[in-house]
Amino acid sequence: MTIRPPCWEQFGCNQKDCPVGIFTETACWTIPALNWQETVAESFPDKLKKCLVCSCFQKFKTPETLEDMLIQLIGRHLEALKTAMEKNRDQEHSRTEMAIGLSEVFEALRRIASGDPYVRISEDSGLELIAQLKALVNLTARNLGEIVDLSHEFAIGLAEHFDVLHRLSSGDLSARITGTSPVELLESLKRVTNDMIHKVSRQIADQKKAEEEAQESERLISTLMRNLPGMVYRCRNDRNWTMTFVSEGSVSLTGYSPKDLVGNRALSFSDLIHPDDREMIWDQVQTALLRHNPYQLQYRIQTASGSEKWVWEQGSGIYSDEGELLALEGFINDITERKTAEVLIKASEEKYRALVNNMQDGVFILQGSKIKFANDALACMLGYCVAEMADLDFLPLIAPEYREVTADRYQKRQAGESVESEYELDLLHKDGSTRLTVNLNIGLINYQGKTASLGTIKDITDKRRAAQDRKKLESQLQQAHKMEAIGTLAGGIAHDFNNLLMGILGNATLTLMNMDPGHPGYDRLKNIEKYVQSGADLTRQLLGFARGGKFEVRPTNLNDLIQQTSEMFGRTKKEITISLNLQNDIWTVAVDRGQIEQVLLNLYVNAWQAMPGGGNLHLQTANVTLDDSYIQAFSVIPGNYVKFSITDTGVGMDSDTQKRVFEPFFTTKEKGRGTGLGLASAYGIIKNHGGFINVYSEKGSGTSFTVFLPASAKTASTEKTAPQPVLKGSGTVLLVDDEQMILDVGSQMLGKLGYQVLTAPNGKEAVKLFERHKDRVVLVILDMIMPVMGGSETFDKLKSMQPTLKVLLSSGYAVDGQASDILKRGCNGFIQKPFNLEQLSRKTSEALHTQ
Amino acid sequence: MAVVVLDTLGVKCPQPVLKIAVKAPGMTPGDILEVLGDCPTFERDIRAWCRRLGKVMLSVKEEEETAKRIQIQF
Repeated sequence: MTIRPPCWEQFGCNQKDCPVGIFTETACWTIPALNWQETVAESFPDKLKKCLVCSCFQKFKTPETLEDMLIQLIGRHLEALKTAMEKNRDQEHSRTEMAIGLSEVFEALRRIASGDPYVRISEDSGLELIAQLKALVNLTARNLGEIVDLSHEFAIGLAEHFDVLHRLSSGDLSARITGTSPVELLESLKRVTNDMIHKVSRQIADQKKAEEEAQESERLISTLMRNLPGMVYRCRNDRNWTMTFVSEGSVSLTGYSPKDLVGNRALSFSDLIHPDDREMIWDQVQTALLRHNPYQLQYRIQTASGSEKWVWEQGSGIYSDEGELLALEGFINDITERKTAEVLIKASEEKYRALVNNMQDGVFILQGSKIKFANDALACMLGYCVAEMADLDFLPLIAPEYREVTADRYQKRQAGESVESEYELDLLHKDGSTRLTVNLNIGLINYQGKTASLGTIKDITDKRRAAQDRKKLESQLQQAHKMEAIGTLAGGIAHDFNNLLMGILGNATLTLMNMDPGHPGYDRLKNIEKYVQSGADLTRQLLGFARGGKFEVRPTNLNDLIQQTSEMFGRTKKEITISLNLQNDIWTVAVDRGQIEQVLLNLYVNAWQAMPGGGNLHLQTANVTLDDSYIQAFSVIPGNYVKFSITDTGVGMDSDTQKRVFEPFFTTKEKGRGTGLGLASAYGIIKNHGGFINVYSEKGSGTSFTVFLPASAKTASTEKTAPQPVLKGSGTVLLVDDEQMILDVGSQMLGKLGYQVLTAPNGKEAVKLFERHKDRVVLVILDMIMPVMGGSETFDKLKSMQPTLKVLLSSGYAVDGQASDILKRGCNGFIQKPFNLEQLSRKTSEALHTQ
Repeated sequence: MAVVVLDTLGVKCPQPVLKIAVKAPGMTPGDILEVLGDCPTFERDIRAWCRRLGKVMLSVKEEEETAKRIQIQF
């Protein structure tokens, strides 16, 4: 299409003045009209007419412009005519095509309208419009089909939902949307619905479960409250404790029903409380509420029947979210029986405590290795306080040597084995050194739910010591009895032996008196005299042991005696070092010096023989005071004693030897070196002096003999003994002895001394003889032991006949109880057989010159 | 076991299906619903509904013109 210039340019008009341009929005009709003339409302001639009358055209018209205009108009008119004719031919063909096409479209639309969206028609047509229309119909049918399918899908989906919802409404919680839809929305809806059903089902199930649980809980609480042996309550926090809820338990607890108590209808709960307890309860509850704590109370109530009950209450405040106290809730229970039991238990416990703690014996409970309980007695026994003993390990309390066996028994007993339940052992005091000998009695018990051991301990330390002392005492007593028996035997032997010696010695002495010293038998007789003297020494020792020889008692300073004897002994035994430790101001002892010297020498010799390689001899004296307990074992009286001890560093003795050391003839020395009488006589002499001798020895270390002699109040005298000459006398002496040998020898010896002699073989004869010759008898030498009439009776008879008669007692025995008694009754002296001429002369002279 | 008849003649799909859905809650297992319809997609829709909801389509009977009678067992 040719684009022409705008009309106003061709016509020479001014566009601004063009009425067409003014009247319509479209500017000049010529230009667009050439292209769109069919759409212009006004006809071409009208337009042209308007141009011709247009002031603008008029204003600018020229012949040239008019010509141009006409040419143009004609050209355009012809062009328009041609086009119109071509169009008329095409339009006739098109009308036919259109009619056929429209009928097809109509049929299709009708079918679609009847509800069939699946109709389709051929889209071929000579007319583009019809072709497009057919395509449009098919498109519409397709679109409609999709919509119909969609609506069906929706409908079926909706129907399924409806069905499921219906089943749900019927209670079928298993109903679910199962179908699968190509529609996304339906699938989403299915998920939502099924989820919703699932959730609702779950909620319903949960709710149902919760309801069931709530019902069960309610039932449980109801059952509990009904069966509880007490009362559950809710009340206000006022002085009446006004109840707003009370369980049925109130009836059995208080005798009042809930309706009596709720709202204080019959009475307030406070009225039930014992008046003395009300203030205490109020204070305790208010204190607990202030701290938002629960409270526990024990108090008394008075029941409807008037009886008093002890109750236990636990409760707490109920608060709003804002913290405001709404009520008190709690539980009250009857504890009367428990309270009564507690009182009984307390009384029982006090009784038990008093019993256990006042027991003399220790009581304890062990669990594991610990002391769980110990009474006062045990704690005191071991030096602890009761609190210190709690949880103390028991094993360290046991003396080390008993620990293993005790622990072993303990474990076996715990394991159920049968072991000794009572035995003795040593415990250690808290000070660690003191030992206690105890008798333990132990057994298993159940203590605080576990196996434990309950034991009693009796302190038998004193009892054990006493038993040991008694045993020792018994042993010593037995020993003493034995020594006594041996002493008697030894005394008898010595007596007879002395008589024999007297005969030998007397004969030897008498023979020697009439013999020239140059005679060949003189020396032999002298030897006989010497041997008899040795034999006499032996019997003297025997008699010393037999407690018979203390007849020259003088107050003596023991220190002097020890110094003299030890000095003399030390001179002969240079290998021995003697050390003295003597008590200053030593007390005096009343002793027969000769005998004590004999004791000392015996002990020195013993010590020397115990130290064959030399050693130390330690001599000590001391003043001691002995009490009852110490001396009980030695059968001596308590008081002041002088003690002297002789201690060597020799070979020592074993215990068996120590036990027998004082026995006569017991010796450990080789044959010929010891008589076995040294210590025996020492024992007898000391015993005869009212003292005692003790020995302590350790094998390999040495021996110590300790001698105790009773102190005397007298002052010691220092007397030097000088050899005495033979003292001759005159007058008649009556010699009484049952031994013919003694009578023979004695009468000859007396004759030698210048006396006239009468002899009698027994007391009876002596009395007769004295009766006849009493005027001339100046002295009677009287034997002690005689048949028919003994020395004692004879003495009394003679004395009764002549009270001033001098009597010299003679015996092969030492001075014993009987001789001592006669001496006390006025006898003038004692002469020990065997005696020689010198001894006889001195004793006879002394007796004659005594007052 | 009851037989219930539902007439959906002249009603266009998916109306028949929706009417069946409304009727269904009143049916008990074993009951038969007999549906009359003439919508061009009537049979197809009923089949789809039965398949989806697990019902048994017992029979399809051609009636006059385009109408059909379909029996459904619940």
